[in-house]
Amino acid sequence: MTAAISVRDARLRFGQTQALDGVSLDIAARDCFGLVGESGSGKTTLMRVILGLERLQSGSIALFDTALGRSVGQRARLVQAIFQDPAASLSPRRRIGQLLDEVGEVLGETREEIRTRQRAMFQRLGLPLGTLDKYPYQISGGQARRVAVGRALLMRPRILIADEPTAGLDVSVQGDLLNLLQELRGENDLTLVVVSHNLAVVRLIADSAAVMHRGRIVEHGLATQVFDAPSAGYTQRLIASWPRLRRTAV
Amino acid sequence: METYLSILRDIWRSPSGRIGLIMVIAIVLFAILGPVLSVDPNKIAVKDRFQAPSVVHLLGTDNLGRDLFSRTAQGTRAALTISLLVVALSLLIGAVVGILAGMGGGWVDRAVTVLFDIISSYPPVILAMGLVALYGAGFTNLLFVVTVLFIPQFGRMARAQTLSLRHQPFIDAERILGLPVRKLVWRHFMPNVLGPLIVLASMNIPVVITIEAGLSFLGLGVQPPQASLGTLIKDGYTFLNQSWWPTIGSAVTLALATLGSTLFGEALRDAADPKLKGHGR
Amino acid sequence: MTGAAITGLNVAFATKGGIHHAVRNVNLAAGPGRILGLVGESGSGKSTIALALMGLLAANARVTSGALQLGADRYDLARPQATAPLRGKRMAMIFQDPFASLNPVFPVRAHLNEVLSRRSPELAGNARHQATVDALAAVGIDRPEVRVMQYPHELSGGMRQRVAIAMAMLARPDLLIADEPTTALDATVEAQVMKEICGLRDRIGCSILVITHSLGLVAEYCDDIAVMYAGELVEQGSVKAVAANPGHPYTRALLACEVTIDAPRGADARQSRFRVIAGDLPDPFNPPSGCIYRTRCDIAIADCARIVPPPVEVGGNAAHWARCIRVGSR
Repeated sequence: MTAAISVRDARLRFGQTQALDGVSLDIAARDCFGLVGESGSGKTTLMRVILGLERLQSGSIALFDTALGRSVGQRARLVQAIFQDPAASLSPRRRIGQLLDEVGEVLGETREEIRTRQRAMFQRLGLPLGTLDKYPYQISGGQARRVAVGRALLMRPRILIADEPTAGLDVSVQGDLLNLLQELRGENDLTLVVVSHNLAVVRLIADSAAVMHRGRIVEHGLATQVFDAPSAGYTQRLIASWPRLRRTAV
Repeated sequence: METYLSILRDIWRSPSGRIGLIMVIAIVLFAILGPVLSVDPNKIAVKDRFQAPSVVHLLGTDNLGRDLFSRTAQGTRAALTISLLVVALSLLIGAVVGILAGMGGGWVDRAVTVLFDIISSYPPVILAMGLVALYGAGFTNLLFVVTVLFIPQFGRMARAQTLSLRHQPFIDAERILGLPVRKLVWRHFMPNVLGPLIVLASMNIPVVITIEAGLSFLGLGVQPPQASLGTLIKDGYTFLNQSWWPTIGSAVTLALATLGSTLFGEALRDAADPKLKGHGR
Repeated sequence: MTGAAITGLNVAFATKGGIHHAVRNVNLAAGPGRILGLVGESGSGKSTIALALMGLLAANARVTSGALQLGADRYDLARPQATAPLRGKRMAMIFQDPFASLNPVFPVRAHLNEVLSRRSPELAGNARHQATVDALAAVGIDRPEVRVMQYPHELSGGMRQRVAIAMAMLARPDLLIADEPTTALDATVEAQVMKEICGLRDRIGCSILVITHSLGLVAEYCDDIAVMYAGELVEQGSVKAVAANPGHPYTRALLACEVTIDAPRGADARQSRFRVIAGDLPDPFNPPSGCIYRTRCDIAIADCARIVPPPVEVGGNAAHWARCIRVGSR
């Protein structure tokens, strides 16, 4: 099995904080990988490093066995991301259509090609075509979430990273996004990386997972092992403090 | 487009904004139409000197018998031209330099910040006087000097905006897309930086008008025979004991121009503030 | 102490689109020494209730009617500043973001002293200092003598929330309102903070109203539960009763949507699917007739559009009711 992402001894320090303290990790292609940890654990930093938004002080990252240099363009075709607040990840003074046209521009497609793909993507995601003419502040949060997903997928990435996809969402709507991710993963042959503090969601959606704590990976393995039979003391404590529903009591 | 219309509507709805807008329109019309409607502003007729306002000379004549209505209109036109040019130039240069400093960080940022600090640590009028003394008086030098003086204001604001934008998720999203830096700056920084800068520009127009008038009053700005509000006031002031009305027309125009553009600028600031309104984010 | 009760609470917001009745006819009772979890999703009006109780509503909001019964005293919430004299005495509040609710220019000591000066003015000097240190120790803060001198920014989020709990403890209120007290905190810290809130209940025996969007948190730490939907209370009862036998279809759907850490999981994660509640919240300016939930309900019948459902007893338990005419059918 080839590794979609392989991180070797990644280190990065911000002032007093060692955000990444020798992280090594392999994420298998076509896996859904869950990266969990509490705030300040370094999971977001690791994601940003993989995306090229931060630079490592030492260590290396390879995507599909290709070591990444500084070329943003090369990376952009391999990995895309959706952020916690999708509405804030759409440039506020441009129309949705303009934002999606940029994908074609980056990929060197003709206007026709990208427009055709846009329409197909909107149909797939259940977005009305009229959304293309709107500004980000004119659409609902749910629509913005789908636009952000669509924009990332139009890049035809091989890896999709979802940063805290359920944070701030009501339980009655979070499933909508999670189900969509599940479906898209199958349809597009994607490696999906879910970065989240929501253990329960990651446990269900991920094939394998890693737990981060203070810049290190403290546990790594199949999701069933990590969550149902954790070996590290920290993971055990984390899972024990997760609230449960007492269904059995009467 | 609808955003701009709704901003205009908001300005019109506030009483002071409406007064400001009317004053600005009146002054602009005066500057454009005044010279067309009247006689040659530089035509000397010494026998007609110090005439009181009349049907022929709406604002009377000066010490050389020149028509003050057309001279005031010419001076207003000069004041508006200079202030618009200065503000537009310093806004553009300031925006570019500020964004580059904010994006570049490191020593570029430090150098630009220090340069801005140096420029703005001098009192503007004194510095302008010094620079004009160095390079000579005249329209072009005046334009250049005042522009330099106003760059730091715009540059600082552009830099601060850039710094806060840099960490916005939408900038991250564009970077991940692999958009070249040039396009990133032009499409996604510029429009978001420009809004507050335009508001600042509208508030600076009256300041530039008064600086221009002040320097011209001191003989460091627009040179005779070309009229400027500052030189008109000065000429009127020189002959104040012989006739008082020559000062009135230019002084009132200056007051109206600065008051009107200040009121307009403030109303624009309130209308464009996304925290107070629902426009954009 | 006899607990706290809210009766007939209505709150309206004046907005551009018209009058929005954000809270409609809510009756809530929190028994003494019990924690009542008020759950609801965004837009349900749950936080509006807390703000109405504290008199901290936004300028465009108005309590059109409603009363708070606290022990033997009754306060008319429609009167401006009705509960102002109670704040920090018989009523205390813990906010979602303790960094925003603690004044950054004062040390922890000053915050605690302020509560003491209102609640226990007889304490002075060393006795007062000792009381503040004891309070911090009681909520599980290590080295309380040091912490008491520190400023809010020197403390972690969980620590700040404990300071807020210590303040509430010194206030010895009859009613403590905690609005999303752990939303900004990590799971491990959430567990600790909730345990301190439970400890506070046991120590001073007050009624506690915990407002949250997390059913899991309510199930784990609360005694009673009240479920809000679109401005209305749809179900109330003990956590045990409601979790075992939810009477309202909305409560049932919420419980089904909750992703639990011990949910059944197949061998292939690709097959995992998540529950959602189909449809959207009703238009606040044009709510449906009859039952507020019927547009999204899976068991709605024609009568649901005609009848505004009254509270109906669930499972022969007088303390457990749901506002649904189809209680018992699913």
